[in-house]
Amino acid sequence: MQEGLFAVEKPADYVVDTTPVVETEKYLIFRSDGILFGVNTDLVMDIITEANVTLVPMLPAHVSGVINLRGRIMPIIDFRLMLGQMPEENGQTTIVLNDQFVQVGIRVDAVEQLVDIEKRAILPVPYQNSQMPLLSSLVSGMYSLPDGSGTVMVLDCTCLLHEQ
Amino acid sequence: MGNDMMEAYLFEMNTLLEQVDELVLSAEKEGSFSEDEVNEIFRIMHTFKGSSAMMEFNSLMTVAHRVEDLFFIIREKSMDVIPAELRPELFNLIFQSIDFFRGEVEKIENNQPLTEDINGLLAKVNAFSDKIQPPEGGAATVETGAASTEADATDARYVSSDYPYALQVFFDEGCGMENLRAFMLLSSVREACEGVTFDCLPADVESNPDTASFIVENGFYLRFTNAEDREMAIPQIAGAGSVSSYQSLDYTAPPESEPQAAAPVAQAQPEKPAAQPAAAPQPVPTEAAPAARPQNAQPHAKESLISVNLGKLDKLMAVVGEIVITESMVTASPDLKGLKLDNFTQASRQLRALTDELQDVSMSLRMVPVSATFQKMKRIVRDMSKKLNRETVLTLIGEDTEVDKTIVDSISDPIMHIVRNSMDHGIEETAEERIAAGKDPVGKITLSARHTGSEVIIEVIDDGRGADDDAILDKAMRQGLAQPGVEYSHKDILNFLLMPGFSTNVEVTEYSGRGVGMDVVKSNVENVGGSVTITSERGKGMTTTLKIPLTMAIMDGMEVSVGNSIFTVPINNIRQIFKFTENDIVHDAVHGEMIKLTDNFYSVVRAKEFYNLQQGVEDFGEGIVLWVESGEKSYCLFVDDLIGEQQVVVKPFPSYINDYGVKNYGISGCTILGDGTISIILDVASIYAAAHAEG
Repeated sequence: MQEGLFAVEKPADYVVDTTPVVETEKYLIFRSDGILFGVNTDLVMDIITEANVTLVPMLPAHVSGVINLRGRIMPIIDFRLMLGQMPEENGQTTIVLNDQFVQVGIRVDAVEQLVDIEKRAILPVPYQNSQMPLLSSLVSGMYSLPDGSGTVMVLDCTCLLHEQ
Repeated sequence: MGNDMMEAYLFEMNTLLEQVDELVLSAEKEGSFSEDEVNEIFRIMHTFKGSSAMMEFNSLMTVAHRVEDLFFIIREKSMDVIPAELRPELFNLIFQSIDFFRGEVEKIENNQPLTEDINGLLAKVNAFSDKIQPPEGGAATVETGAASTEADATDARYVSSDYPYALQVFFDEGCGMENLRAFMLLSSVREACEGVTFDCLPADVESNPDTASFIVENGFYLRFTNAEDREMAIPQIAGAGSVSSYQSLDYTAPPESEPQAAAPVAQAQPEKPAAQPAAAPQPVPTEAAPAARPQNAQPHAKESLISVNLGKLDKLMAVVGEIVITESMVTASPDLKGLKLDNFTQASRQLRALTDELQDVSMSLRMVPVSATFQKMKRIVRDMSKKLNRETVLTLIGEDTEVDKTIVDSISDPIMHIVRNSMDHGIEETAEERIAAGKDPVGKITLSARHTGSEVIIEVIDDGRGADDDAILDKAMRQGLAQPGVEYSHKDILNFLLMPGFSTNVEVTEYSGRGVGMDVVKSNVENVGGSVTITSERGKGMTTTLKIPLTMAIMDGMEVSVGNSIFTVPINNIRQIFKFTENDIVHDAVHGEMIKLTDNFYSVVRAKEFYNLQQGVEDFGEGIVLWVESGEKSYCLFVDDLIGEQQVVVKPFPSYINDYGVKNYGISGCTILGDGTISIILDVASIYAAAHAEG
């Protein structure tokens, strides 16, 4: 009985061993002022196209205010302003990010696509931009899209959600 | 998982501790435990023991175990086993144990290490158990003698025949430097009882710090040659600081030589210093007669209760709030305009009735009676009246008044502070002083709670000395709070009591007068949207009144607009609403604006400018002015327009927003309006503070 079991399982083990394990993660690619950014989809809770932002006074410029997302009060961050890019009003999409502790909506220009990114294909950022320390700390790596349509800045969401 | 268990454990401990405290307090009043009460305490101690053992809090388990043993004896032998003069000691002992548990539970809550040294308390519990537990099979007459010898086995070995009358003194647990305290005690006794020969054990307390641990464990012994000398020393000991308990011990001859002649332990308590002559062995049963009381006192009514995590209730509240809003979104939908829908109207009316009911029910879930908080005050008054030697009764009125859970938690400390103040500064120091003032020698503090519509009014009334206007004014001058040469009204003077850094008592006592005073009470109460007022008549006492909103989760708000922003101002804060023209405005040199209302000038805060809003009216003629006040602060808030009054569900901002410190600018929370838009709830007091700090 025991022997039989092993006999069946062995080839299966063998097959698994031969195929290289490709560790991939799904990323949502969005555009902000012409640059592509990627966030891990595990953290994306929702994508909203229409949001009526209520302005909350006395906040820094990049925190636009709050929205009512199905009864939940959700802070909205303007991604362009956060990175110091040119502000733009029209045609914005909000990506709702959610980790265990914080829920935040980030306003971006447009959502592009979903891609599977191989973990080891994410390459380190070659330099630290002293002009934009926030950007440097937010971007954890870079990835070139296989279809050649551009290079994605992979965001460190923990940093995004907790860095103020 | 571990956290859940810990939470459950702490919750259980706290609930049960309150229960025991209440039981013992009422039993102390009666002077005895009923059978039910003994069973209840036994059961609770058993639970303590079990849960503490499970959580591996060994010290807690051991103490609970010993107290359980003690109550096991009482349960078996009934209360009769404890002679009346031992009872005050029993009550004190239980209170000490409760305090120990409470202290430890607090330490667990704060992640502090637990007390390792529990021997002092254990020794006391054991000694007491031994005292009431006669050895098996002993004859009735011998029992007393034998029991006392046994009890003395630990204590009496330090009592010698040269000085047969001893006093055993224990100091407050954890007070430290017991040897020096003993030495101070020794000097005061020596001073008070001149010419009396006595010695002490350990003898070298002054020079040998190692004696401290002996004193913690076994107590400090003062030994006298005769009983009268000892009586003289007792007041000194009773009045000394840090002494937690003391008892008289008499030298007993070894039992095997002459058991019949053995003198029983005479218990001397502050209430009854000469309770029992040391000589005559008193048979226990005679003491039992007054203690026999109706057994059917009142069985503890078991309510069918469940405990629910507050977080779940918050969630329920939030969902119900959404339903109420969604309901009005549906029934008042603009799509329905101009349609004649009889059935729909009827059904939606019914829906409205049901959602209103749902809201009321879910609100009531969060409401808890103030009785738990009030009961705690009983204990404080009891302890303080013993310590300060001012007999005082606390009367509770309206204990079953219900308040939102979060509010109850935050008013507990303020009430405690006020009660302590009343005991410390209010009630006269001696009964003679009270009699001279034509009052009942027993002081009286009344704690009352009642509803008025949307508020709860809590009053602490004492019939003590009342406020001395001159003394307060004098103090306020010295503190720089009052200006010399200014006439202050009685009300103004009482308000000084609520200012930071004001404390009238010259000395700092254990209970109050640490400089942080009523101003902390005031800010705590204002944090939950309430207010504090003091009224007092000299010689008649003082009344402190707390006005507190029933709940913070729902409130009546006035919706106002500034540009395209909508704000909610709590109705409670609005005194009046005016229309003004530019001509009514008075300008000061630094571009400040003021309005004269009734007989005072009030500053104007423009919401648009205060919040740097893009849109909004500039001209006073086009906007509207809200005259608002919170506590002592009163000013005018200029906004564009009124939208209307509405009951709103208060939602806190997510911490992401709050971390930017918007609360300092009066942005205290928000609410979702019927059409789904968000309105920002303003805190009137913070706006005043921020606007005038900048100005």
